[in-house]
Amino acid sequence: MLTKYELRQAIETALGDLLGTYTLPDGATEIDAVSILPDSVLGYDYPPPGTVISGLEVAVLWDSELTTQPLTGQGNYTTSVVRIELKQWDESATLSAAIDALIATFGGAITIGPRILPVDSLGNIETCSITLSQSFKIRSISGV
Amino acid sequence: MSRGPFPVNSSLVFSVASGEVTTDGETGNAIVATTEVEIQASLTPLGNAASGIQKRLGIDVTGLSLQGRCVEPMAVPSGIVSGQPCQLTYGGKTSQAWIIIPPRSRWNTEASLGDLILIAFERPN
Repeated sequence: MLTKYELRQAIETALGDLLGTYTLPDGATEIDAVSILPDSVLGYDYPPPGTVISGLEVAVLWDSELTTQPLTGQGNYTTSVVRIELKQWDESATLSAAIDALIATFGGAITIGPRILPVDSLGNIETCSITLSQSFKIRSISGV
Repeated sequence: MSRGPFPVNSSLVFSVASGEVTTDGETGNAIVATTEVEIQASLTPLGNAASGIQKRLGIDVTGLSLQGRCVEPMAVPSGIVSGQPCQLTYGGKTSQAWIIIPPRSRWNTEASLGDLILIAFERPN
């Protein structure tokens, strides 16, 4: 099973130079803009308040999906899925290169959700939600 | 730096990055160590009339409650930015509040009176 840390490394390797940066609130430290959520200290408030984000940001979070609902009896069958949320804070860039890079690494293990394009009048940024199926992906990319 | 001339009636405590950054072994996320920085200030409730400064900044004045000057230290310490949350103690009660730092005076009155600050009880945008 891929640990959270291994998944971060796989994403950082896959995206490489496409990744943007977090400039942490100390004003000096720059790190790759990848968040594994929830953070052990800040929960879903990570990155820490005051962080300056530039370029492509990736937030990774764990979710459950309902797979089977039994006709009788109790209990729902759920699978754990990983959501990879891409956010492009650089208005002059797009997400297409990042999506291609993730496809090249994770192949059929990911499902690409709708890509929301930036709209000036709404002031939103380009985002895309990608689902990584836990059961499939663990075996298929453990060799990455 | 000396103290400002106004009487202290409130205290603001901020969490400010101390410059030490470590990495969480489980997730690889960065952990930014923080230290507490306190400002003692002289604050007074705002009336309904918005000042020119607040109008220019586009601040929602209904969410603003207090304004005043820093006393000790007289200048807002570096690392505290406009819109940052703090623990405000005012009138014997402590609550979550947000600091707003308006533009500085052309006449550099901050040097003798202390920095002007505004306190909002709603998160400013």
